[in-house]
Amino acid sequence: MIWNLIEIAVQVGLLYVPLVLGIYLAMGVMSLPDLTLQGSFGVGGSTAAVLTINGQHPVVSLGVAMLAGAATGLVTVLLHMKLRLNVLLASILVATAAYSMCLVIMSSGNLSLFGTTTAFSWADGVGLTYREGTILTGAGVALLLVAVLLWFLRTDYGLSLVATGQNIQTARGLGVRTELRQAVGLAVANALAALSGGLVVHNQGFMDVTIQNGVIVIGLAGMMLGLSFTRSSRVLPILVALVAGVVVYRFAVATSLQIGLNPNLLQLLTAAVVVVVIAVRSQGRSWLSTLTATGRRQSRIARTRYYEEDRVASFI
Amino acid sequence: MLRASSDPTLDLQLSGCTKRFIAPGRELVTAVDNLSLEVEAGTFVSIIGSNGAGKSTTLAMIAGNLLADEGHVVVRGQDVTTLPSWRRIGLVSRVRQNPQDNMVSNLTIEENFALALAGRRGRFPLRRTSPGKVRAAAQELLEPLGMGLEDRLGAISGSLSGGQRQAIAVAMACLGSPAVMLLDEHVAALDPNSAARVNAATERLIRERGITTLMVTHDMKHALDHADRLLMMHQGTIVVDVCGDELTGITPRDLQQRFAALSGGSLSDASLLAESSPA
Repeated sequence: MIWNLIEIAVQVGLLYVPLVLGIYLAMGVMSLPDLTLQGSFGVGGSTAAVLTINGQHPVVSLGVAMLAGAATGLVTVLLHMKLRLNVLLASILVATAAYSMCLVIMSSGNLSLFGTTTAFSWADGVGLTYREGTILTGAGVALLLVAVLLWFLRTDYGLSLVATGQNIQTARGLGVRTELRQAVGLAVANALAALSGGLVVHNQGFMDVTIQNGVIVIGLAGMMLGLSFTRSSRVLPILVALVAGVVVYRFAVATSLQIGLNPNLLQLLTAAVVVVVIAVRSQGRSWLSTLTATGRRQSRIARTRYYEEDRVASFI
Repeated sequence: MLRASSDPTLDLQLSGCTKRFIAPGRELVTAVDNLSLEVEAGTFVSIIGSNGAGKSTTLAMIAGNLLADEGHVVVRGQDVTTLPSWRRIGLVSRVRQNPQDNMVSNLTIEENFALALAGRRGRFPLRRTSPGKVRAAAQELLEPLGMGLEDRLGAISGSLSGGQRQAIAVAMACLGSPAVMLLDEHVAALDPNSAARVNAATERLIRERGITTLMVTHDMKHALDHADRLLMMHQGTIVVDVCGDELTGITPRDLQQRFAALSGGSLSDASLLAESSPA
């Protein structure tokens, strides 16, 4: 049974790897709280669904889906750059609008891909089960993306992106046109989210406009779990940890469903996973130490420091 | 308009530069008021003045972090008045007071130099500058500092001390020999020992390369002892401008008194304290 759960976790988890990498790029590397990713996931899914139903090659349909996702991300960037809107606010607006865009693209609330050729249809032709085909395709995509990101973030251009996410003034002082880097970073991140949406739709054989609901939290859960596996600041360990994180998250979901969790509680479980991981990461040691007086004092010192150093940023 | 732009001996010309801000309370404040300044190539200029005198605003207008409301900024014959900071990197480099603002903290020294090199070339290609080239450029600039930093190129820059980071920042700012180097109280956040070391390193680097430098400082003695020319700013204008032989005859005390006389007696608290103490 465990092996079956692991297989399910790997099968589904790998499809969400592009989304998690996109969230990491936007929030981790660029330090931009971009919720557009959720909308791009839906836009990618609907674009891929419509193109596949129209008989386009799976690679074409996923490629166009990524372009649609990038375009969605660029709308957020334009709002940020031209109207000087905070990224969080801009992305909430765009993600909301993207929901309607999905319905426009699909001309309905849901579509079936039954009988079409998807990115996973090749498995049938070479005598693999659907699950094996899914795992191989997902692993191939994940491997490719990790390799590309690993290369990209080490190039001069990639370093300028990292610098922009760290400190805009420093980056500009080094000659980086930071507004362009933010645009590129969010476009790539949203293209990745859209690819994830396309893969999920191809894999489950139908598209429903609601698949994007709460998907950002799934990505966040995967990312937070993954980042808890490594303390390294180097790119390779982080990327590998992110892939592992999303698979482990799907394993937790599959296990919960297997032992009889009410599927209605799934979103609650996802949010709980994020909270628990953050709690363990930041508080794990101090909880144990509150058993002693010194420990309690230490945790009071840490808590006061957090409150004293807390910062607010108005985004209107 | 660019009368002297043909003059090859001038590295920096400000003509009629004005910068106004809307202060909290909707009051319009003139930070820099119709300021004109010409600096000859290779000159080391110190700028002193109380808080709010417009020193940093002037540097920001030269670096492009702020654009002048009126007037022109010409660097080595090029009118850069409307260019943003990232496009002036080949001509102007600026070192700020806070070490965190001068280097990307979570990248290594080598990666910071790679970025600075790419920035000077004006291209950030989709490949990595050959590590050999980056290391050679970094070592050439870091070795003369005598701080052993050339052997720590792989260190994450955030793990270095403030003094080390400021020294590296000055070295990075020297890359590609910019026309003008701006030092904005770059040792103000350091302890006296580190400040002295970074000052010595700075002077060696800019003297060797003959880089035109504007340094904002509150250290009047250092300003007098080391600079070729000294400017004092007050309320957005230059009130004292001395150079050459004139400089050698001035003591910090003279400077305080001259400042008091020129600016109508409104000295900063620190200056008043320094004035009243016999030391």
